[in-house]
Amino acid sequence: MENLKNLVNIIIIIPLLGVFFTSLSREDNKSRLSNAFCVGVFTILSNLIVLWRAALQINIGKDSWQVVEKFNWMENPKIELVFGIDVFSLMLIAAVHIAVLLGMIGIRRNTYRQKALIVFALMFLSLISGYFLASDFFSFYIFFEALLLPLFMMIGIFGDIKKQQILYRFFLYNLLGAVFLFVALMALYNHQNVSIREVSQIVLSGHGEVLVWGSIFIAFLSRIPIWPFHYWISSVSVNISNPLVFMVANIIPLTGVYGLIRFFPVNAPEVLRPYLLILEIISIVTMLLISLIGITKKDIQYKIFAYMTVYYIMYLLGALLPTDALLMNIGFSLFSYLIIVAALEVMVAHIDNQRQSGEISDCGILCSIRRSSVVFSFLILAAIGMPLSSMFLNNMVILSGLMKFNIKMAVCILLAMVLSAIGLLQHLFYLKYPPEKDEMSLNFKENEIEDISMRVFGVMIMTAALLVLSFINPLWFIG
Amino acid sequence: MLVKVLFLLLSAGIISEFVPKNRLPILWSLIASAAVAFFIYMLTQLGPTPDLKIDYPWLEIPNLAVNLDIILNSHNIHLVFALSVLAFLVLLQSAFGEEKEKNTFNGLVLLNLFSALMLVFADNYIQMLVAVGVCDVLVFSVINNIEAKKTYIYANFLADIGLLSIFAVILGQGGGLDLKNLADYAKFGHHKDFVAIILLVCIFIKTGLFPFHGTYVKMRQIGFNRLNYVLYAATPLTGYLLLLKTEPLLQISHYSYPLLQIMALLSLVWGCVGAVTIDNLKQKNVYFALMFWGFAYGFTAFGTRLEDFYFASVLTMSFLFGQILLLAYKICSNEIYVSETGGFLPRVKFTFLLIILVISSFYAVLMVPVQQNLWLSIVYGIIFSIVSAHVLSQILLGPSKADDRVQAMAKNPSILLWLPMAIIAFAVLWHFKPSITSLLLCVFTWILLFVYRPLKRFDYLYEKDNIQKADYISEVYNLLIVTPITVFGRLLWVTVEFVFFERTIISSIQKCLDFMVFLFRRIHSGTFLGAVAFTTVGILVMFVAWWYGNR
Repeated sequence: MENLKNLVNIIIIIPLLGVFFTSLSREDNKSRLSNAFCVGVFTILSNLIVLWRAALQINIGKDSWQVVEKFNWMENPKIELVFGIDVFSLMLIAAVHIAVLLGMIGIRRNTYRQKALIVFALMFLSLISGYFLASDFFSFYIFFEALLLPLFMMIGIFGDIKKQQILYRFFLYNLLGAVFLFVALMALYNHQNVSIREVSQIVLSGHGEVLVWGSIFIAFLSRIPIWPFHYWISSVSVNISNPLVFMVANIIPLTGVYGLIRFFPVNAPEVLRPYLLILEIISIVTMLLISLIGITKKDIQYKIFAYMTVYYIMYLLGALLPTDALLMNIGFSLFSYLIIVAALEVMVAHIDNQRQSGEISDCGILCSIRRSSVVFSFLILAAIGMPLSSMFLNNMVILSGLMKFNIKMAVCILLAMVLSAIGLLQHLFYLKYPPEKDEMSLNFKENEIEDISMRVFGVMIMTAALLVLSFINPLWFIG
Repeated sequence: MLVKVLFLLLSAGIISEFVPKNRLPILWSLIASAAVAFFIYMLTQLGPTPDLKIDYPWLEIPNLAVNLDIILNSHNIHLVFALSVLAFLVLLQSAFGEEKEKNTFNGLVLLNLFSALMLVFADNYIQMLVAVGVCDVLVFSVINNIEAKKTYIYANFLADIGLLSIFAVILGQGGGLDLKNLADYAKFGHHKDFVAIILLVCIFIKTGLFPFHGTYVKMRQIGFNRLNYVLYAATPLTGYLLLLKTEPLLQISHYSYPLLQIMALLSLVWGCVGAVTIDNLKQKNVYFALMFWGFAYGFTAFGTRLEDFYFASVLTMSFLFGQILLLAYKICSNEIYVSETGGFLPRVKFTFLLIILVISSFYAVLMVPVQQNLWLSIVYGIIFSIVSAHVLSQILLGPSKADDRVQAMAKNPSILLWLPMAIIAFAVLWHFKPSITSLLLCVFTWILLFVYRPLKRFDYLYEKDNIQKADYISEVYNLLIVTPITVFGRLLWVTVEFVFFERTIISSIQKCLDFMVFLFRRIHSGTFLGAVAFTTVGILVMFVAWWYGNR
């Protein structure tokens, strides 16, 4: 345990060190890969090793929070920062690290302000790791809000011509969430400074309970693309083509899901239970709405956003409703899900680059780039839920819980999942559809279309192997 | 030992996938065939009644502890044997035939064989679902035509989701993971009709029974050898095995057996119609497979399950008939349209003898299940005889419509292609030892049908474009499902996303904020009126606070 205590701190600190060293790194135009990129990759790999060491120390069989570190920050008012870890948070931190790593590989050739991008990505990693490890109100709130800063900067720098509008929406929705969470946590703190796991000990009056928990509820929902909060994330997803920024933006809903999972299942007061029905209805409507729109849209970014939304909400419902699905099942599934989406986004960015640089249509583009075609097909098949990753069996367990709870609702969720998956398949076939020979000669000048390099292909093969291993045994890395 | 050999198959499959696709293809094909041959040899060493049960703890995730079962007994060894033989024949065909990307294809065949065996061995439904899903992914890779791929994955993905939901329902209700516990579902389960009917629909989709056969009809563009393998040893087979393994679930609903009977018979009839009327030889092969699966499902539908040994034998013979069509295709210099062939018999007399041998073996096998279900066996036997004689007669004996070059190039296929088929057909004939009189009667009847070709009056249908190119099922699917979803999705985007959010909510908030910014700018503009307004607002706020404070 003593060892784990140090490792938990290190998990947050290493990306910060990475930020420091990346900031100091010199821009070097001579080598193919910039210094900043190398430092970024090295930082993430180092932290993954630390995470692996931490995983070896955790009691896997014990599906509960293991508080490992406390800092006494202030005596008056008494503020104590508490950090803890469990398998669920560990899986999420690892998945986010790998997703950001893949995102970095997607931008390795982007020379436009690459250093800034990597600095903010590492800062985001540090903050989100802190958020997943936070176990008290203060650190939880600080990390919850602070992790928006790097994303704000990233959108500001790398957004396209609509970035002002996007930032405006981003600010509007997140301000709402921040205010609600701040008020609720202050109200809770006013009673007692306890850790999140013990929050149910706080006794509030009837109205107070509804107000405080309702505020927490709305604050987390504002991060999740649930109607009517989905609009800002959809705007960001559609208008950002940089894979790293896209990935960071689409990890934000995870913070909302995580917050609700941490606060609600055991702590939510009975008085709030009836409101869960409203959440269910809104969730189902959102899933169906977004997945239907995803099918009709031609933009792959929207399709991926639709897919992510449907799955995020499915995980949320699986965790919130009184089902048998355990956090670990959701954690295992989320692990593959984030990695698949990140890898997919890298491939989409590559294809988009080829389309733009060659000034060609991307219909049938995969026919000319075999490596990309293989990787893209694998990722789409894994994404839609074929037995190629840990999503397959763990989603089945989550769905079995949902089916047991309410079969009609579960059927609607399945329908949304099918629709979002069909949206992805549509795009796969659009990219693979072989053009006529004349069109081919007009559209694709073979030499101009560049396949992914052997190195990236190697990384993608390793990613595929990681996914398959997670299917065979989600905890393969600890034996 | 069996586990080691299974591992050998798996390793051979993985290695074949990683070997460069055009590097030493014949050598790698022979190595792959040797791996399967060794597996067959090991099976023969186990004898006809092995009793092997191996349980490996595989997965221990919360709420799901799954064992990997390898169960080999007198029931399933025949099917294991038949599947291995089929894979062996396909690999040999790949080695000496005109297969593109042999190494990749061989790897997929080996991996598919492994997953099919895992399905046969499965004793819990997680293993079963995984094997079915893996098989889908592998067949998706085997299909090298984009249209066929597309239809295939859409259909099978939906079927997989359906299966997943059914077993999620069962798991959620505490039904356990063992397949033998499914029989108890009638006692504790809910949503019985839902479970039984969705299960059947998923199985029909997988096997491609009528009206879901379009998935396989679209595969007319892929290689003949690949098509044959897919039709008899891959996804359709997984559908049938699913039916056998989950049969207790069908008994929980009154609708299942009538539905099964209707679909089996419709498939048999539709297969016959398609095989006669469609000109494309590969499509004919699909319809022959449809007839066969209709026949196999018919046995289960009418309560007399085709015994494992006979099913394995009929499956092998149906596959061999598919290989005969492949040889016919090769004889015609890869001419795909039957209406463009004819009159090849004088040049390929030896192939005709091979056909007679395969047909004889087919009858020898078919005579056995007659005792189980007389009328179904006879109906299938008659239909198969008439249609197979019709098609082969048109190619070999009919009026020649092939061009001179094709006629001149017609010759018996290479010994490497026909010899394995002949050996297997002969072995089957030898094993079943049918009554000589009955066999001769059947074979002579077939030859009579072959010579006189009673269905030749339907040849004119080959020229009807509306029959040859018709794809009514896809049109209905597009009209009833795809179009409404697309229209509804666009409507939602325009109304909810664009009009409601973009133009109403966001725009209103933005205008409100703009107005406030404007107001505050005016207040701070330094004019006298601004100062008055600012002071007035402040006083008003203070007054409201005081007013409420006093109440």
